[in-house]
Amino acid sequence: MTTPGPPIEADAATAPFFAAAARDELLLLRCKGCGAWHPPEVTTCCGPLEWVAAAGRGIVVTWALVHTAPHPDFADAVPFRTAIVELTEGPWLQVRLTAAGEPAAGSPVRITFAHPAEGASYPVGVLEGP
Amino acid sequence: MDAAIVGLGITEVGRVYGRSAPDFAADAVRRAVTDAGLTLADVDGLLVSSGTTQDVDVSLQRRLGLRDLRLLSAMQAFGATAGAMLAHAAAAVTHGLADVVACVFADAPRRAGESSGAAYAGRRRYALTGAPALRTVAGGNPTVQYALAARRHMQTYGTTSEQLGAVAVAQRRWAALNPLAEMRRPLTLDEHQASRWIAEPLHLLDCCLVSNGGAAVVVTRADRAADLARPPVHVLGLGQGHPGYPAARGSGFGLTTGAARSGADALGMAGVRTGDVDVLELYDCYTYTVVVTLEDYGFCPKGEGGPFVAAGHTAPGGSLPVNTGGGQLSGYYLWGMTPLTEAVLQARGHAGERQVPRHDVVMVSGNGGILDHHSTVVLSPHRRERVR
Repeated sequence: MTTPGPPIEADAATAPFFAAAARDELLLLRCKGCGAWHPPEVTTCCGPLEWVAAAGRGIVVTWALVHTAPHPDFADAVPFRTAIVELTEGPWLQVRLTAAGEPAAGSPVRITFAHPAEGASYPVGVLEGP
Repeated sequence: MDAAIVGLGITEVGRVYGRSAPDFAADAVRRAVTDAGLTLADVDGLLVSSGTTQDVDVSLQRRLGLRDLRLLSAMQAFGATAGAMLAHAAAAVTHGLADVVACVFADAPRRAGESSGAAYAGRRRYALTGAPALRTVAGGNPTVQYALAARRHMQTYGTTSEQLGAVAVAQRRWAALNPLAEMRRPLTLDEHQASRWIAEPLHLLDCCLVSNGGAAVVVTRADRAADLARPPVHVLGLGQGHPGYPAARGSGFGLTTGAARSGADALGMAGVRTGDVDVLELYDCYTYTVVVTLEDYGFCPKGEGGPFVAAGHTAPGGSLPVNTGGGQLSGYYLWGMTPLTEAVLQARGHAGERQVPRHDVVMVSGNGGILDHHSTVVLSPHRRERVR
């Protein structure tokens, strides 16, 4: 099955994150100063940030069923679900949910990875049973 | 603060094709200055803001032939910009940095034969690199992010799609009374419910219009305002709130917004309470933002914005008129200038068939980004000491 959506690429800051995604591994940022976990877009905390392996588990905070393609490369994929997932470590990650099933707030999610033919690998979400 | 809005200019707006955003901006400024009974030579301050076309900039000075300005800037806080420009202008005239400041917004995203969605999508720049690209491949875009916010509100507080629909229906009733509004045909809740999904839980009729056009206001010191052509609209209160939501556990995204801080600050500066507010003009890029802003401003308890609107309070004849020109959902979409322009007309008492009888205190919101930026303005036909 082809992966919907446009090809994306890492930048210098996120190169380790996307390299890990290609190996089916989720990395998050953790502050060496206070130990706080951060999502990939954060660049500043009280100390240096390092990439650390995350559990790849979380719960649905909220979701939407997308009917109008948000990018032309999703035209053949609608409708699909997108969700904000609160990872076990605390950071939020927005992912496309790849399997059918109606989520609810708090539904458990496992992070897996999409490996599109073009562009970087990236995390997606699978709803887990209750 | 010792400032008043003395001029208002609104260009032709809506499906008006073949004109650039800078052209609309210049037109709006000329109209606002004329409306005030001033000339362009009186203007010594200009604040400009762009929408999607991003081409309304400080070169508007040359386009208008303005000489020797003392204040000139392009400002950008997205939907909160109109309130932010007004705050900057009001402070400038109060402290003598300028005497007559024009604040303008214009945009021209629509082309003939193209849908609103296509007009906006075609001008969107997608993040395809680094961390922001994760939202793109997750299927996010501004409407989807608002759907995520609305869903969280619904899950947490029990807000329903029918309650969101009540916002659209109430505002369409107001729009029917507004000759400037694009959508004036009556709307039923059934039609709202039957309109296609854009990003569930948002139907098409939960989403605002897309319009071409421009709007400007002219601000001067309150003592000067009394001698001009129009009844002055005094700036009593100002506030902003930029929550900087963390993308992490504990975030209030979707539940509470920058309106909470911004509204309280603006009401405090004005020396009034929610119960003193006669008219409310809220930024309504989506029906949901009306609901959450009513709550955050304190017009109803948290979580009861949906039932509040469904009970009819905000519609014509209700206890709290909201978005009396039809708002961005049914009137016209000029970002923060939509609520601000209607507020000026109501405060003056010049809103025609839709004029509300009591308009001593008018409260205006602006909301930008994905609930990232909020501005509030409290206006009155009276100076602060004469309100209440």
